Amino acid sequence: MNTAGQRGVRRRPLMIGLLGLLGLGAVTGLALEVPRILSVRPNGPYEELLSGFHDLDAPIVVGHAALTRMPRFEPGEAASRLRKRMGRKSLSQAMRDDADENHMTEVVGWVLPEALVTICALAAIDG
Amino acid sequence: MPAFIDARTVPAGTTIDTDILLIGGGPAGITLAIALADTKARVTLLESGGMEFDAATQALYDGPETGVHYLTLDGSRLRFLGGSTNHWGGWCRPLDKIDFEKRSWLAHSGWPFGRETLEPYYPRAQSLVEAGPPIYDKPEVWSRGAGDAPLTLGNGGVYTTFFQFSKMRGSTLPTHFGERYAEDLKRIENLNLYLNANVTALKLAKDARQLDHVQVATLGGTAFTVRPRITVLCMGAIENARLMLASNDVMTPGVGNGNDLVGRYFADHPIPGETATMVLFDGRLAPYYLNNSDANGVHFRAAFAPSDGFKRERHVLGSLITVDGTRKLGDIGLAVVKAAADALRIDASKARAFNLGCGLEPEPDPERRITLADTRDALGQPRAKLTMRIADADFDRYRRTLSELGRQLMAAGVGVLQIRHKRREDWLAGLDWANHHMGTTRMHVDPKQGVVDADSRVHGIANLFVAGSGVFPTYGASNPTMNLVALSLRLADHLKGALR
Repeated sequence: MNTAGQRGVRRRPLMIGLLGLLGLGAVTGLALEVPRILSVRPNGPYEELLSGFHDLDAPIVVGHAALTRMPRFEPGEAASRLRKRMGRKSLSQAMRDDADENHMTEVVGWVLPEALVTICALAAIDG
Repeated sequence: MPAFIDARTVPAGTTIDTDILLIGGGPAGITLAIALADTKARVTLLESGGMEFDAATQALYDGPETGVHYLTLDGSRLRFLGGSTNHWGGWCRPLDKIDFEKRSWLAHSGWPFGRETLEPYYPRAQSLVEAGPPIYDKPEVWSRGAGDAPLTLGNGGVYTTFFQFSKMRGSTLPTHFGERYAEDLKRIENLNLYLNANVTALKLAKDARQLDHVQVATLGGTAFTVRPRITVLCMGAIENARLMLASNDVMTPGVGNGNDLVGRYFADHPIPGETATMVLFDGRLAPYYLNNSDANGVHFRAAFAPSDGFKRERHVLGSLITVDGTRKLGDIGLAVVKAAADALRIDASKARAFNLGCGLEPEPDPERRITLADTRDALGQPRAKLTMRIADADFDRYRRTLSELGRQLMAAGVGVLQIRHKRREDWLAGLDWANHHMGTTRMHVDPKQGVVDADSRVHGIANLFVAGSGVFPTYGASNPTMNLVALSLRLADHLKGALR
């Protein structure tokens, strides 16, 4: 076996190993990202409301905190009311409008727009 | 140049005649002495202490307390020339216009005059406290001088306001009136200033319509008399009330106390600790919110305050909200910031959280008061006793202001705010006080509602006046020293007129 042949034999497992690593990385990445992607774009009943967030982890935490102080929170009703109020507005715009119109509420003392708190509560229920 | 007179050297039994007697050498007494220097009146100023702290003299201030936790009565003031300016922080800001107004929703509110009456006296008061040229609420001047713009808030009831700081000539400290003005006082030809001179009684004429003389004692045992044409009590809100109540040989309830008002409506500015957390998404806040800064030759600092319009509309009282350093957020706080910024499509990777503190204005309360204790001091005088209270409504009103600030941060898309206290015990847990003694001899045109009239004269007593923040009927949130100096200058003008 000449030197070139030896090199050819050694290069092949190396390439396979590299491809394997890349594949493993891609699978791991997908495994990590898919739930996040799914959580951002859920196929739940509040999908379009929750689409105002890139990431639902934080809204879910806020939502759980809000729900402890809203024992009679009725998600379907709240979502329907919010949809009516928001119309075609973005969440960002709805939050600023809430602030302008003094539709604010408190979650653990945090002074927050009602739209944001309602959507966080929905995220917590849905998530 | 005449030196000050040590009262311990005055022969016992001496009677000193004078035109104007100032009792107390704090900011009010010293201001009056300076303002009366251009008159021909013989002025006498009696100061209980000397030129510096003395434990035995200071102990005359000691007294019992009941009610809400408060500072000790001998710890919250100083009894030597300069009075409590010897330990003040130097924060200066004029009272707001609304502070003088009668408000239908605030019991016992309303000064006998508006701020315009004090306006002419503020420039000289500003000069006496050495707080630099009066700029205050001109944010464009500060931001130009300091190179940083104030925080942008959404439209609403809270705005950025500015303190200026007293800075004693040649010192980093605020102006200590005794030290700063001692030489000026010695140069005043018509003034005799006695140190170590404690007034132990106000002696009324038999008809109780005139003050006839005062009795003076030293801790060394000397006693003498001063017989003035006009007397001004300048000892601070607690001691003024104490001396009036203790001087009860002609008027049994005490001097000027025919309507049981002397000592009532005592007030101080409560300082609840760490009242709120303000998070700014971009983390940027001009340094003059966080620390005293220098611009335009003035030591200054920014704070947040409710506007007069907001106070009227939402029935809140004054508060001055300061930024007291940064803090770390807990899990929910981090989630709130992340969720809010995400929804607003704002980058919050550099967000910073700040502690908000405050001094707030309490409502007038007749049951928060100074009375006489059963115990006596080294001069045989009954000690002052404080009954301290704070209403839940005071905290509720301040909460409304914080909530408005939170709303405005969100409306501007710059940040978010957390109010940290909800229950009374939360507010009381970290509660401190500002050492701003006010009330006890409140001003009102009606003798049934005030101890002194619009000219600071004790109702019913022709020649007895009270100076200082003890006459404030409502208190505002501003620090009282510069305001009481302005009020003392106004009183000096009145006395000049009375002497003519």
